[in-house]
Amino acid sequence: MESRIVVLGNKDHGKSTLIGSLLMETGAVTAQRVDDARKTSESLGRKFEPGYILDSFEEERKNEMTIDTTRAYLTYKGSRIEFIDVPGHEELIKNMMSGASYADSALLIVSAREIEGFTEQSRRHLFIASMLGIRKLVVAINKMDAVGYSDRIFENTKREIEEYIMKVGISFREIFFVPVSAYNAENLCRPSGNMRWYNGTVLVELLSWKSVDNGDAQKEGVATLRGFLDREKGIVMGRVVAGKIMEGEELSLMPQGSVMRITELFVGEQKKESALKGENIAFVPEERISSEVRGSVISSQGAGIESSVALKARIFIVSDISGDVSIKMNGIASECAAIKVIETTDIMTGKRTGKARIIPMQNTAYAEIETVRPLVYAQFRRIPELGRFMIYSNGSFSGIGLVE
Amino acid sequence: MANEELKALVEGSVYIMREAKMNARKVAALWSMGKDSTAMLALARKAFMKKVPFPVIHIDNGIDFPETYAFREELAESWELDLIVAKSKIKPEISGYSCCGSNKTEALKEVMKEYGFDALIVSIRRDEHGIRAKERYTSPRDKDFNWNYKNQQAEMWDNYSSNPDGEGHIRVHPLLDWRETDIWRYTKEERIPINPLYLSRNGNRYRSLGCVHCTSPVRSSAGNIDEIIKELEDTTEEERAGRDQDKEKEYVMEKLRALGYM
Repeated sequence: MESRIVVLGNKDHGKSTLIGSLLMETGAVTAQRVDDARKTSESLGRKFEPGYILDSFEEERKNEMTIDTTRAYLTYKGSRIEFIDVPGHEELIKNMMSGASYADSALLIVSAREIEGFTEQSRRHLFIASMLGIRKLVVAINKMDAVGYSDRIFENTKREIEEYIMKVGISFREIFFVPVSAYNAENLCRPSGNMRWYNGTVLVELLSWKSVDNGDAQKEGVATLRGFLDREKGIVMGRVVAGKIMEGEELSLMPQGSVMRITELFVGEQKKESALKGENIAFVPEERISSEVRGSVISSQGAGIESSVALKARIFIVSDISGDVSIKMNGIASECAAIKVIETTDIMTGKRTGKARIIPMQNTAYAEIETVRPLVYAQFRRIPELGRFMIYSNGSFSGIGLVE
Repeated sequence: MANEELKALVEGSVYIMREAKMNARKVAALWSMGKDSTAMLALARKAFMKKVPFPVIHIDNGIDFPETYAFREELAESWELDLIVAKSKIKPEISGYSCCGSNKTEALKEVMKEYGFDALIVSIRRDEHGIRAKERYTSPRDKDFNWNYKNQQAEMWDNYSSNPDGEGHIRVHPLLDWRETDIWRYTKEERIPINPLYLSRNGNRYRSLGCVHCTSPVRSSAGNIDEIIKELEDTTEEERAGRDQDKEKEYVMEKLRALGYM
């Protein structure tokens, strides 16, 4: 399966440069795009910048920073790798989160230079990646050429990152560290003669496989309902988000709290007896559903789907929550009655504070969310689609939450 | 590419189109009769029980290829499409960037207003162009069609946006994740009809189709879809290399899209 990798790190530590370099090294980018980047570098009076392959907005190139997320692709030994480049700038954290929410792995780029190093912004990115459920982390310690290819500096930076991960209590399933020079393409695809002390694998190899699914995913069938495909005929549209949904099986319908069976099931336009996770379905229920169905959930017996007006979640705040608060989960907005903070955690130090009233910006809390109408949900780690939401206040995006 | 991956792309697109239909008051799709927007219509047929449930708009400047018009008529009939042909004017003094920027966008603005569409499905892909790689699956445009690309709204997971203010419209991009070869693999698998200009004739074929003024063919011997895929796997050329150049140059696409171009 294709691996989707979000590229994290502080502004100016070389994210776009590293991906641009990797694309050139693996021949994944056309001569025309390289040429375009070369011409842009020249016209701006700068030395060749591989990052311009990705940063295509005029403002991005002139100001030498990524404004919004972009994607780039390469194929290595038959595996497809998709890079999601995100801005490293603190004010653009919403764009970083938009990109990171689609990734299964993360590549964190940290500059080895002492004045740059493992910054607050790198820590914030790492924390968010872990929160979003990213399983595999590859850390590229970049700009090794600027620190004399020192193995001591590499080891110190690595230790600092490991200590941070321990201290704030986040985790990844797999973690790798690799020393690189993005600009000189060292240790990207070919081992570097300047860093013979590094015995590990080159970067592209570390990125070429996707981390396996964790074992605790939901087995029982669950589908979210999207609305009526044909209201007159009572045909309902949905998407299977866990396990398998079968024709004729006894299913519970939430939040209605009733029991139903499917008499005719379609995957896409084809008639089927069952549908699997990820498939878009349409079905005719045995008895016509008279209530609104958008946002409802059908599930096999024992699926453990809950419906209530209060849920507990880990939240991350990017801007103040005030005024009219709502959450958007599974594509549907719900008005909130209250967000009650149970405990805040400082993501830089790991320090926990109970009963805080206000969550500091760009920080995290464990909280209880109360909604006006009942919401159907599940734990994020079991069914991601029913356990993750965006938080809005007065219509603007202000954070995310993951059901625990 | 594994079948599993193509399947994931199909399910993703079906989901986005169904959500667009549920979130909007009145949806339309742009159809250029090219391979991408035709694949999009095939996906819409999959999503909505073999019937495309929204009108499809052709922005017609009157100078598309004869094969393109013939293909439009054929498919519109066999798939029972609700086809809207929006005529755009060609001004002889305007070409390239200005032509696409003013003429086509103006025609689109008029038709959107006339019918009151608040969502527009556009079949762009990220791998086509650096600027298109920056798009979201759903992206609001204001009443003048401006794209506020410097401050795009957050879009996470499968939470898509709907038209925020009732004045502008929302662009919906169900094919954003697809690559050129994915489109061809799907076209082959589903036996989707194609414009014959995509296949080699006298050693040339069109890789990307625009109007007669601004499109030129590439050297190719690919006479069927398998051969096209094989050729694309080895090419070092850009897909849109055959499009009139000033449109594709640095920042021009950015400006075109900011003004409402597709």
